[in-house]
Formats: sequence, C-alpha cells, structure tokens
Amino acid sequence: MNITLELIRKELLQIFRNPLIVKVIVMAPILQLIVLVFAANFEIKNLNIGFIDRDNTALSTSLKNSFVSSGYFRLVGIKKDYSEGLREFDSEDVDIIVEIPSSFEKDLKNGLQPNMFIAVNAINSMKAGVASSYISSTITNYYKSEVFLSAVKNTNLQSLPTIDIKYSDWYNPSLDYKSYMLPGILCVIVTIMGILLTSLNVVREKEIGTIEQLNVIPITKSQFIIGKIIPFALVGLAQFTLGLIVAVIVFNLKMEGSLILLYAMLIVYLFVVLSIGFLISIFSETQSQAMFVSLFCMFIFILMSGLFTPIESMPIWAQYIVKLNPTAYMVDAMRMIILKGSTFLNMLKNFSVLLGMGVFVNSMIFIFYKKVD
Amino acid sequence: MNKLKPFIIKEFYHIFRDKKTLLIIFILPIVLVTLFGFAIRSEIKDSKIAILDKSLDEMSIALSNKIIASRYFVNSADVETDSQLEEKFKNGDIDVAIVIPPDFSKNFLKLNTTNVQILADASNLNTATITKQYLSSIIGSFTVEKLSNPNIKEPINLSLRLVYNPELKDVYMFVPGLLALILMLVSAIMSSVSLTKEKETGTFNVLKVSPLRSYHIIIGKLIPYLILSIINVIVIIGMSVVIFNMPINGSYVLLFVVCILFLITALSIGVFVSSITETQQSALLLSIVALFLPTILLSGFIYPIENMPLILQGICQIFPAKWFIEALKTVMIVGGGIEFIWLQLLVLASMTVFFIGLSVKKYNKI
Repeated sequence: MNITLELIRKELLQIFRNPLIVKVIVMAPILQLIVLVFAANFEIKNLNIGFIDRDNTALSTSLKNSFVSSGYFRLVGIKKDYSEGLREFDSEDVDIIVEIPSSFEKDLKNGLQPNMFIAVNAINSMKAGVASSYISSTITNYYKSEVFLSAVKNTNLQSLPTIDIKYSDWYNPSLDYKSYMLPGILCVIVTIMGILLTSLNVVREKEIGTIEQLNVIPITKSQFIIGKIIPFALVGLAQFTLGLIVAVIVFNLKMEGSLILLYAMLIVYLFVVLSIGFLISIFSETQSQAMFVSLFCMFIFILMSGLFTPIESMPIWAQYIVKLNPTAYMVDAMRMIILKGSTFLNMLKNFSVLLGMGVFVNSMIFIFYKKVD
Repeated sequence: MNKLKPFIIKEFYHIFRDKKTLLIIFILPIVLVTLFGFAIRSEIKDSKIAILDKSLDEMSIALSNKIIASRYFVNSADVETDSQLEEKFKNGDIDVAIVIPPDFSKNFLKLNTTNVQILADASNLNTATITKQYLSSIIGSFTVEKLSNPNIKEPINLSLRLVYNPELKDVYMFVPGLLALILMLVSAIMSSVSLTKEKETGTFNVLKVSPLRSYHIIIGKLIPYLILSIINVIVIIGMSVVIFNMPINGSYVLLFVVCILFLITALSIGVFVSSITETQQSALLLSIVALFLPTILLSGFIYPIENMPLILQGICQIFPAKWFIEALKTVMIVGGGIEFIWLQLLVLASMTVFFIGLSVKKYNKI
C-alpha cells in the first residue's frame, strides 16, 4: 500500500511541477465554461429579413410590423429587386426575403388569395427549417390581427379554425440554454483533460526512459494501475468541483438532485476515461501516436455524446456506437441529476454500464500491460 | 533554399520512420469525416412521445395517428393519467407528451377553436425545441385538413423557396465545419509536437548551432507537414463530394487556395504553441484545450454565431476556423468568387503572419 501511495505522490508532484499544466487545469474550466456556455444555443433569433413591398398599403405595412414585433426577425434594408436581393444571400447579411405583391391589399379585400414570395437562405438547414416555421406562425398570427380581420370581413378568407397549443417545459421551464449546456460542457472539459494527461503518461515514461525504473520497483500490476489512476482522478475531481463552483456563482445553477450521487457518478466515469487513457498510453510507442489516438477517442466521445447534437437524430448504427460511449452516459447522468433531480434508481442503468466499462478496460490494461519489458 | 533542403529531407525521414503515426494521420480524418458526416444531424427522427388522449373520439384519434405516422415520433408509452406522465419523464422514457383535453373535438367544431397541451422534457433542450416545432407544424396541417367548411381557404398563398439547399440537407452545414475542426487539430498538433520533441530530446540544440536561422527551422518544419496535410485535404474534400454530395459550385483553384491558406494558419498556430512550451505534453495540452472546444463551439460549425451574445461574437472572430468555414461555404455551396471571400482570406493570411512572426521572435531569443 505504501508503495502505491509513493507512486501517487510522485505523479502528483510531476503534475504540479509543470506550471503550465496547473494553469490549464485551473483556467480551462473557469474560462471555457464562462465563454462556451453562451455559445451553445439552438434557439434561433435575429433572423435578418428584408422586404420588397410593391404594395405599400396599410395591410402590407401591418404585415411587416407583425414580423418585426414577433421578436424573431430583424428588419434589414435590401435592394428593390427580388433577384438582386437574392444576391445578398451570398454575403450572409440577409436570411429571408419577402416579396409582397402590388395587389396585396386589393386582392385580400376582394377575397382573392394574393401570391407572396418568400425566399430563405437554406445553407444552414436547421436555421432555414426554424425560419420557415417562424414565418408560418407569424402569418397565422397576422390573420388574427384586427387590421387583417377588418379588411377581409366581407370575404370568405376569414375565420380559419385554430388549435391553440399550450406549451409546458418541464425541468427547465425558462428554457435556459445555459443550465442545459453547462453540465455537459463541464463533463467534456474533465474528459479532455483526463484523457490527455493519462494517455501521455506511460508513453512519456517510455520515451524518456524512466519506465525502466518503474519496472524494477517491487510493485504489483494492480498497485501500479491504482497508483497511476488515483492522482488523475484527484485532478479530475478538483477540476470538476472548480467548474461546479463557477456554475453556481456565475450562472446561478440550481442543483435539483443529490450532490453525493453526482460525485459518485463522476468517480465511476473518471475510472472509465482515465483507464481508456492508460490503455492508449500502453499501446503507443511515441507521444504523438498516443495523442492522435486520444484525439480520435475525444472526437467520438464528445461529438457523439448527445451534448451538441441530439442522439435521436443519428442513424441507427451510430446510435449503437453511442451505446459504447462513456461520455454519453455521463452527460445524460449529469443532466438528469442536476436538472431533473433524478435519484440513484433512475441512474441505475448509467451507473452499471459505466462500471462495466471501467472493469472491462481495466482488465484489458491488466492483460496487456507488461510491467517488465 | 539550399540550406532548407537537407532539413526538409531530415524531417521527412522522421515522419516516415514513425509509420504508425503516419498511418494514423491519414486514417483519422477519413474515419472521422465518414462517421460524423453521417452521425451529426440536427434533424430529429423518432422522438419518444406519449399521447394522453382524454377525448378519445374520432377526431382526437385522427390527430394521434397523424402524429405517430410522421417519421418524427414514436409512441413510447401508454399513459392514462397525468401522474404517469411525470414518472415517464423522470425515467427518461419519453421526450415529449401531448395532452388532448376532453372537449377537444367539441370545441373545434362548435367554437372554431380548441386547444391541446404539449409537455416537453426541457432538460434536453435541443430535442425539446426541435420536437415542439415538429408537433406544432403537424397540428397546423391537421387543422387545415379538418377544416369544417371546405370553402375556407388560406388567405395568403405563400410560395416559400429555400435557396441553395432546397432539400434542407444538413451536410451543407456540418461538412465544412467538420473539415475545419479536423484539419485544425491534426495540423496544429503535428507541427507543435514535432518542434517540442526536438526540444525535449535535446536535438533542438543541434539545430541551433547549425547555420540555420530560426525562420529556416520554422519553414522547414512547416513544408513537410503542409504536404501531408494537403494530401488530407484532397482526400476529405473528395470524400465530402463523393459520399456526402457536397457541391463544388465555385472554382476548384480558389477552393484549394482557401484550404492551403487555412492549413498554413493551423500549422503556424502549432509552431507558435511550440515556441512557448518546453515539452510535448505541455504543447499538446495547450493546443488541444485551446482549440478543441472553441473550434467546435465558436466557429459556427454547430451553433450559428449570430445567435450568440455580442461579446461572444467578437471572440469568435479570433478563431481561424470561423473564417475558413465561411469561405468554404461560399466557394462550395454558393459558388462565390474571390470578391466574396477576400476578407476571409485576408484575415487568415494576417493570422498566419502574426503567429509566424511571434514564433520567429520567440525562437530567436532561444
């Protein structure tokens, strides 16, 4: 046991000896949380809309006003010609162009359907999809406006039946993107740092040659593995705690669930990712090899975790890969504990899967790590 | 130039000696582009929905069927009471629920207006936002189908045109971002590691006493890795055209220029990182922590920059990936010429000059 403690002490000394690593460990959660949490927002606002109003009547003006007052659109001036306006899409200054025909008011008052042309810049498919649904809901609201109703009152263009939808958003009623992204981003920061430090660890000793010294000390394989994982788990825990403090102070994050459960999940999760890091380190000959392999893992862990894009939208085969992704279980667990207040029983699946992965990876390390070369 | 040649040859020996790394450098982008090109989507299919139908008449059942028949939703739970819904949400069995009130059809037919309630698990906010939109458009088209009076028609005849991407394919959005992310990280890591490795193993001192000036060393390091990266660019642009049907509507030459400029920027960031660190470990830590998440989040790859707070939009400007993605989309999708992307090219070039300048200064002092 003593010798394991010595190994832990040695690793911690090595980490803290390098001022850059300490700075990165401390600054990464603080800076990245504060900055990145604001970036991750699918809620589309401020769509730039330009009107070509050939009618210029009270009705066409009130249509424009209902777009502006909906809060989703920002009025921009564009050229008076539809096709010239389209060219402005190229510079990405305009997202939507609406052309109101010259007979707009006259047609409506006579009960004829005016034709209105709308062009949406669809390079960003998601934005375009959202824009189209905003456009149709804005126009539906316009149909209920008094100006419109009084104009069409003697025609058969009025009184469309409606189904009103009442939305309730559970667990995050204010639709706060920050508290939604925060747990996940914190999880990712801890993951990146954990994999980086562990995957470079053994291979670095191989490159410098100090692995020989480790090989000759009287230590069993399991003592060695424990001694290598615990210091980095401590770093991960410290980093996570720091991030959580930032989350509470800066973002006013409210913990719905149990803090103990959160940390229990984190410990199991760290056990998995740190072991994966070590496994990479053991199989690599140079630090750059270890790095590219860990980069590969990080890409998959992070981009397929459901943090940035929904897992439901992935093809089925990719969803099977997600089932092997520890980060997906942890991001899910953190959101469930922090936002939903889920209990250990709700967490049972995530917990047991992570534990299983940890045991599996560690047995791999146990089999493949040859202590004496 | 003559001084550089043997140095570049030496660098290639280094590269070819570590066959595993070389293999990884070429395979990594291919696997990642294929994987994420298919897997990263913002469209949500098969959201788990529970329908609590308190009306249970012809019309409410028609609405339920319409929702489940769409490819966006699968009926995932049979619920009869409100309290069951809560339990299903807590277990994560459902993402969204719709409650149809008892007087749903009666009100629709008599009062011309009725209501439903949509409950969404907003702890998974992205899914919640998108599924709510799907539901509201399904309900909207249901309304039109069930019009009580066939003479009533939609007052304005809208013709909506989706320009550049009529099928709303999200590869147009994700493939350029993916290229930026992968090229950025692989290039920056390659150049920063190769220089810090010389420092760590002590061979940097040999270079220092050689007649090479520090800018020779930097250029000599950049050229071999640039050549490797260009091969990567050709492969992944080819893949995005062949596998993901990305168009190249602009000029191939311009596309190539944009890519090479971005590679040089990425490599010079790696060189800069190596100039302020002493070990490979520090260099890797710094480049990955500084580039990985910011390139995903602050480049417009997944999240549109216009949505961000103004300060953050300002911060986005300092990430080269943002400019590269803009230029890439303009050349590939819009088919714009250099007059549309001169600013992007200028910014990338200035960033490169800035990083190389700083690194030369740092290395001169060593």
